[in-house]
Amino acid sequence: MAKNKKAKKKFGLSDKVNSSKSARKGKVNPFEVHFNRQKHNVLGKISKSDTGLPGISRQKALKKRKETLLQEYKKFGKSNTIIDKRIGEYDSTMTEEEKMVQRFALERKRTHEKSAIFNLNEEEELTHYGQSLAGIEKFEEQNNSDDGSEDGWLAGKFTAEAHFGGGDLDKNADGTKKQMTKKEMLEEVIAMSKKRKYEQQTEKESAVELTEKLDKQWNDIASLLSTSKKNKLNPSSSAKQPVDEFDRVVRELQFELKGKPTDRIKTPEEVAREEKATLEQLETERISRMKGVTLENTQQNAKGSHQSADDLSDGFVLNREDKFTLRYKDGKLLSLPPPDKEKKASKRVHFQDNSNADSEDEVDDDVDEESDEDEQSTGSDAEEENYSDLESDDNELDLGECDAEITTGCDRAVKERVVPSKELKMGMEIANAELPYTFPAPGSYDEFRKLIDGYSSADQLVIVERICKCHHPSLAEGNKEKLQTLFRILVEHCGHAAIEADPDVSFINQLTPTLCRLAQQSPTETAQFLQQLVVDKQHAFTEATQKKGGRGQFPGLDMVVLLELVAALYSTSDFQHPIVTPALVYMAQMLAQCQVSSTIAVTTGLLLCTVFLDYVSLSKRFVPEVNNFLYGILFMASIKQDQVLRVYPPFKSVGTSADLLVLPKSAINNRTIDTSPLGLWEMASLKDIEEPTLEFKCTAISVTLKLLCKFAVLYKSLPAYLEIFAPVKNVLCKVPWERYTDSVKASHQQLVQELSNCLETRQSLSRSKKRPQPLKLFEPLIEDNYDGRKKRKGTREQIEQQKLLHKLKRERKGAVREIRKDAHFLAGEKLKQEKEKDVERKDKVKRLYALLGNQEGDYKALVRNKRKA
Amino acid sequence: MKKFKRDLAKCRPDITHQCLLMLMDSPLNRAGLLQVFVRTEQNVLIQINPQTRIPRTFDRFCGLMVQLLHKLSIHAADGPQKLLKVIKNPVTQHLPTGVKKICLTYSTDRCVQPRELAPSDKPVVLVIGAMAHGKVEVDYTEEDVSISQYPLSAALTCAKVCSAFEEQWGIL
Repeated sequence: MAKNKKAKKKFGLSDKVNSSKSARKGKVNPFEVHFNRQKHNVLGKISKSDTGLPGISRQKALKKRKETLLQEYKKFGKSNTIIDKRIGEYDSTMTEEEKMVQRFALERKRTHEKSAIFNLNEEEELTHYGQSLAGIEKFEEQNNSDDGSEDGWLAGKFTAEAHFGGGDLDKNADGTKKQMTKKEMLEEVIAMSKKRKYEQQTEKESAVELTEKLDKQWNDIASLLSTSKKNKLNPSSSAKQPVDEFDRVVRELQFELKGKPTDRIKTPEEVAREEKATLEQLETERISRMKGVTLENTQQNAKGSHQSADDLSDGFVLNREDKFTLRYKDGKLLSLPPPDKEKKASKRVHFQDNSNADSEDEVDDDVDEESDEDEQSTGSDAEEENYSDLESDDNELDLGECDAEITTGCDRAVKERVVPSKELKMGMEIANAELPYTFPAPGSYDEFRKLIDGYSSADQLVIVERICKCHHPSLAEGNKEKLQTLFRILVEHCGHAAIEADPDVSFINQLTPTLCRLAQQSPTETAQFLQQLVVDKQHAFTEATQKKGGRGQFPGLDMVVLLELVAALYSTSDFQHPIVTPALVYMAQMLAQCQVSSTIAVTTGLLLCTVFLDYVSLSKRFVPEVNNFLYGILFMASIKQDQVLRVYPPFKSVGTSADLLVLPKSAINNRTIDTSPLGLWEMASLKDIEEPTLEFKCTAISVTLKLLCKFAVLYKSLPAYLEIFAPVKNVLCKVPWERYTDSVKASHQQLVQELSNCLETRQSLSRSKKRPQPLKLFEPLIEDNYDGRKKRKGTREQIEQQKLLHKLKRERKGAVREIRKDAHFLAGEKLKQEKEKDVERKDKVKRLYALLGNQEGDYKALVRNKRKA
Repeated sequence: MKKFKRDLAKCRPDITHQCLLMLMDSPLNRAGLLQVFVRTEQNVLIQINPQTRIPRTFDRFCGLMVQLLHKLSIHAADGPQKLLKVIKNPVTQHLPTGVKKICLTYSTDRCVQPRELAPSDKPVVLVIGAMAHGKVEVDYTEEDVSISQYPLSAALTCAKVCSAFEEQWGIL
């Protein structure tokens, strides 16, 4: 108990001292201030501990201890204390009088409280609603009316008459009323109020009744009103009045459709864009076919190659709507694609024309144009795109399987054919007059020969045309077969025409469109036929070559024409094609294996090279045989001296054929002979001669140079370009150019320039250069919204915990320090007290000694005096 | 700044920023042949690691500098290195012994090509003032040199010096 009390007291005491510590911040003695030196001054940073007042704070602490700890220490171990409870005894702020007054008031209060316990309601008043009951009892009149309004009305009137009317009641308007007693008056009042109530009741009822009635009436009308808005006029007016014509027209116009939206007419730009898009698409398809990426493959990848259960897997394709079909009406072509798109076929056969002397130049032009136009004219391949997949899939060249897939490129020729054929017609209208208009379809070549014999080539063309028209597949059953036969016959005829002594190349040219159209009408059969033809010829050639120990003979011009025809009919740039690929293989075989020992071989070889150029002009495939052949031709024209150039089969480095084309020295003077080199076809038509003429030699070299130039341009992008043309470059130096004519020299110069243009020195393989390694850069760690405080990591709870722990530590340290200081202070106090006690005791002892000394002295003095006395 | 009664003209962190961008992005620095020290107007010396990527925006650069002056060092965001460090004065303690120290200033008569400042085999110390007004007043330089007859901005000076040293030391 005592302890508890003490603790309470202590708390109160220290608390009081603390609270009394006022903020007396007066002037600070500068000598008292201690500054903490800051190592790094940061602008705007507020530091709590940069200055301190150690003396003052120590003094404060001491004072505080004296007030608290010392007092406690003094009372330590004492169970009783004297508490002075006199009011204001130690308060210096109160005057003596105030003290007295307060003390007196307290005393009075005490005495009053004591005596008041036993007083029973002597001085209290009872109240009701704030009024004393005594007051209320005296006035009994209370208004006890039930209705406020009535009361008001009654009261007003009543009071007006009864109170303030006073004695004037008899002075009423009618004057009938005399003096009334109070009772009468009251009765009257009651009656009046009742009457009033009744009146109000009736009034209310009537009002309700009226409202109901009104509602009913309204309901009746309301239905009318709602409908009347809509058809107020219609039933009456439409039924009765006849429709006004004008109104009807107006209404019709009103409700008439304002013209249907139609497809916008495309602007020329849009049309051009669409055309460009289709052309681009076709080009990409062609290129993909060239690379061997089939449409089927991509489709399979795309949609996972759905195959019907009924599918025979024979590759038969039904949807061929997009194939261009020729239709006839009254013997005339109905729908033809624009003729300006495609001129390939006609161009292709043009260059075989030898009617003009500089046909070789034309070759160049035509090839150029072809390559240009082929890029534009890929539209012709549009029809092929559906079947191209199958074409390239047919690796075995199975004739039975490639039936439905193969379409021809002849449609392109057909398209072009329009203009020339029409012109043809126009020009020969008169000449045709005597020709019969119908011809029987020939069953064999002989029959065909009989049909056309005796007619000019132009007439022959017309005859063929008419046969085609008469036997159009849509006209009769079996016409298709007849036309297929006709196609075969025509192909054969072309061959024959080529072999003839005076080959009519223009005739073949003009026959090509017809062939194209025929091939397109029955693509499968024609393709089969052509493929069979090519394969058979190749087999025959192979067998013949093997018999002769690898040395073959160049075939006749009919073969060249056939191959040229294949190029005209089909797309040669495809990666794989059932007809073009065997044709290519066959041609390469011929170039590689046929002996070049005669003029006819040279001519045919060059012709084959030209055909090759046609075949690979788009796909830019490298054909080593062609290169070798052209190199061999140049070798044959070069002078073999001490240095021996290497030459590869089928050419021979020694023998008569090695110097076949060397121009003798005499040719330098004889310049007149070869100002106009012969055309290839012309050369080919010549019979094999043992000793080639100067003209022949010149022409062969000129053609070779031009072909080489073409191939050089074509293969420019090949990585092995340098190696391919290095032997050609070597052999060019050996040819005695000074003996040739100016035109040949010019083409030589052109070739040399072409080769030197592209001949760049190859760089040796070297290590890729190492770049110096730069120092790695590091991003400095920048805190966003940096506020100069350390950020602690962790969750909110963890941070809180850490904070509390830190606080606890600080507090504990502070408490320990305080305790230590307290102990120090108490020890000092104790020492002080001890010293005081010692001093006191010494004094006391001294005093006692003095007293005793005095006593002793007195006693001795007394004894001395006694003795004396 | 006004609150703390500081001269606004003396506080030009933008110049410092430009200069540091020029210096730290130069191939000379990327080759590891440059060490940059910065001394502030309040005489705080900062050493900059050559691998530091100076923030491209001025705001971020200011944030970086504030953080540096508060914390006295800046770590890399993705590495253990201290990229920026406040170090003890004087700067001569941190320079190689016997190095030639040159002060670049406009207020001198000696005008040289910047590439002449580059010795072939030795390091050299160049002091460039990145401030708006006044001259660099340092006591440890041996000579004053100007590299142009016109007053140059600090960033341009840095760029010129860097390119001259690159040229001289064969850094492409």
